[in-house]
Amino acid sequence: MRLFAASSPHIRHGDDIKVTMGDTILPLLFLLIVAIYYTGLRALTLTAVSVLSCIIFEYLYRRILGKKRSIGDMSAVVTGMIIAFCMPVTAPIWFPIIGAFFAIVVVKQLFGGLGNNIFNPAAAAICLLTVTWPGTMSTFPQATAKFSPFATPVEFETGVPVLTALKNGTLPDNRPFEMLIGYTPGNFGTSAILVIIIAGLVLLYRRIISWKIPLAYLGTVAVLALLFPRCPSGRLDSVVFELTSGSLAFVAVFMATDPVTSPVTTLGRLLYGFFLGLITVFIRYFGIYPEGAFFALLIMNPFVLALDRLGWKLKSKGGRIAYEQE
Amino acid sequence: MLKRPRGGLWFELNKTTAAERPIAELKAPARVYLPLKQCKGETPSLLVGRGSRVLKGQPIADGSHGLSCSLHSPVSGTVESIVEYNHPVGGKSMMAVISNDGRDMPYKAVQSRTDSAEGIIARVKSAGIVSSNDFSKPYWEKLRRFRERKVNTVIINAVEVEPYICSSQKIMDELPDVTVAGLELIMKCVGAKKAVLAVSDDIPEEVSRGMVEAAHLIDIELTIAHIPPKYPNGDEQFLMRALFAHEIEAQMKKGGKRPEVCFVYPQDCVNVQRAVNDGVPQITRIITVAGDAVTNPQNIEVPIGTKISDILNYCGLSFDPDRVVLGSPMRGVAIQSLDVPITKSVGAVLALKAAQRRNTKSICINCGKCVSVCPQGLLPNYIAMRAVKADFEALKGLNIDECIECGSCAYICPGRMPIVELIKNIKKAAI
Repeated sequence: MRLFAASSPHIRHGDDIKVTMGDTILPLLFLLIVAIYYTGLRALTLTAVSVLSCIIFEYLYRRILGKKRSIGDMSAVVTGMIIAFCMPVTAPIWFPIIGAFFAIVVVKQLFGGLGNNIFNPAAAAICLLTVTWPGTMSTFPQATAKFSPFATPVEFETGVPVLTALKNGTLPDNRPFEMLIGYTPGNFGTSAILVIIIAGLVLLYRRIISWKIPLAYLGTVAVLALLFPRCPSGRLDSVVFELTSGSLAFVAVFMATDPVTSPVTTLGRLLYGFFLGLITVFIRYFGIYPEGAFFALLIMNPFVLALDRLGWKLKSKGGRIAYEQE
Repeated sequence: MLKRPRGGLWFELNKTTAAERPIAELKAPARVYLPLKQCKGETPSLLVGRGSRVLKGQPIADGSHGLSCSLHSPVSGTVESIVEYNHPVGGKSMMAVISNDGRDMPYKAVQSRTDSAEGIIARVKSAGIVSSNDFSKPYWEKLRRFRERKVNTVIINAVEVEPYICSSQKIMDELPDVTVAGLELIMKCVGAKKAVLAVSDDIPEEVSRGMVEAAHLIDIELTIAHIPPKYPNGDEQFLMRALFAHEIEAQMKKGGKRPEVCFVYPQDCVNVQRAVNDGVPQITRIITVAGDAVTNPQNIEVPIGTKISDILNYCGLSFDPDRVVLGSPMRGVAIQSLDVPITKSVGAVLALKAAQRRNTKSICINCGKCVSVCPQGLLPNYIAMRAVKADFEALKGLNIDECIECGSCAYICPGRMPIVELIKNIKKAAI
């Protein structure tokens, strides 16, 4: 009998990193199914390419540098899915490969791998692609258009995403109900608001995410939209369209809550969400890009430690009972 | 502002099988191994030598000087040898090995009934009773301090909120009269007027009712306090918060005096009753033997000095465990060999399947689960991060001193960070 004399505690909760990542992947799969239903099998191709390249890059990097294998933790799969979801379905097939390389090798592994990266890998990849190929990344087909898995679409009817309409000060083509079910021009994986809401509730229930960041984030955007409406049809419409358009809801649920790059204290989380909302609205209103959520993430990522420091100041205040155990 | 109890863990308590079986009595094995140091404090001085004949209950080490605790032979027989031994819980001391002649010849000490507080403390001292909580101090010293503090309420702490552990529940279930008789003696000794029984919500109603009825028979009004079965609510300081949040808040405003209460455990009551009324020293202890590798999880009364291997053989192992733990699953000590004897400060033996593979790479993904379960409101993830770098300055700023090493953070951590181990090591390094 070989006994293992490790330190206490001697029992562990069953949810390890793999389970956590698996629980995140499941709702993402539902989003993928909706995307395939709306835009055709090309959504699947892009996602598969993205996920596979993330896994391969992670494997190769760690293999070449002689580090311990880490693809088993499934975090590369999550990153891969998120990168693909934040693209128009018409993006060329090599887009996700470039995104995956940047996310996994540059942003994640060069910083020391999972847990050590300062920036959200997927957000960084999307920002790189958006800045480098702004045209392709913000040209969206009509919501009705379907695409075959492999041929890169060259000519298609472009739709006007709600964010662009809002930027131009015109009335969006979509009704709020269409926004909820994701029947609108946009990134193929981030439009189905209803599915994202359900996914968020599931993740909350499984304690993968906390409510603080998404609520503070979306709340801030909602309040700002109410105070400074962009939609010609009124303040409330403006709130609805700002919340449901672009990738905001997806970012709030799946990316802003990324454990590695978000604060852990209550105050830190609330402030993080608040500033994300502020910056997102700022970029949406005044920037040249229609969507500001990804940039907001990258801007806020370096402040996580500082926000937690603030949160700890509040948390450690107030007396505890001094009681000596006898 | 008083910090309300927050954080903590709700375990699946897993104790039904052991709690359904009656307390079994383990026959003393052919040899018992008695490390002289059975509790915190000084090592008692040896009274016997190699080859001495000893009777059951005869003192073999005298702890009447200083902060120490006497030790008695649980069997009658011959002292085979005296060797140096390093017990994983108690530490280094001499150990008497006594071979059992199987005749259980009792040692008769001349003792008269006593009722005075000093008499009770003296009897507890000569019986070598060790406090049955994790801190294992000599019990006479605890009683003396309770008395000094002018305690007015004695609280029986039967809050068992860790998986498997259910010995307090079984003692109250099967020995309510002995327990309340001990409680009466303790109350008399410390001068307390009130008694409270603190139990977790999941305990069967009839157990606490049985205790109240037994107490009623000897004119003690035992009030029941139900505590949510959340770990670490069994800790005295958390029990204190759960029971007296308002009082403490009010008193802290006035000047920080705590309510004059003291905590005792059912096992303590039983020990005191036997020592004072029956003149029997502490030579056994009721422990929980459980864990996923144990075929018949149950509570057994074992003679002090029985080897863990004998105990596990008695209860049966369905497979070779990866970890054998002395004490609770969250705070106990894992042992490397089964040749370790039970001491008075061991309350449970658990044989467990490994919670993780050996050499699992641990990483922190900063998920914050540890922060949400920390009952002390600390940031275990940052503490672990700084502990790896041995950044003492930052650790002080993170209030590492307030950590009670309850293990909640390490239990919940999905990245399997050995947070408690890091904290323990850094605390050792800082001294």
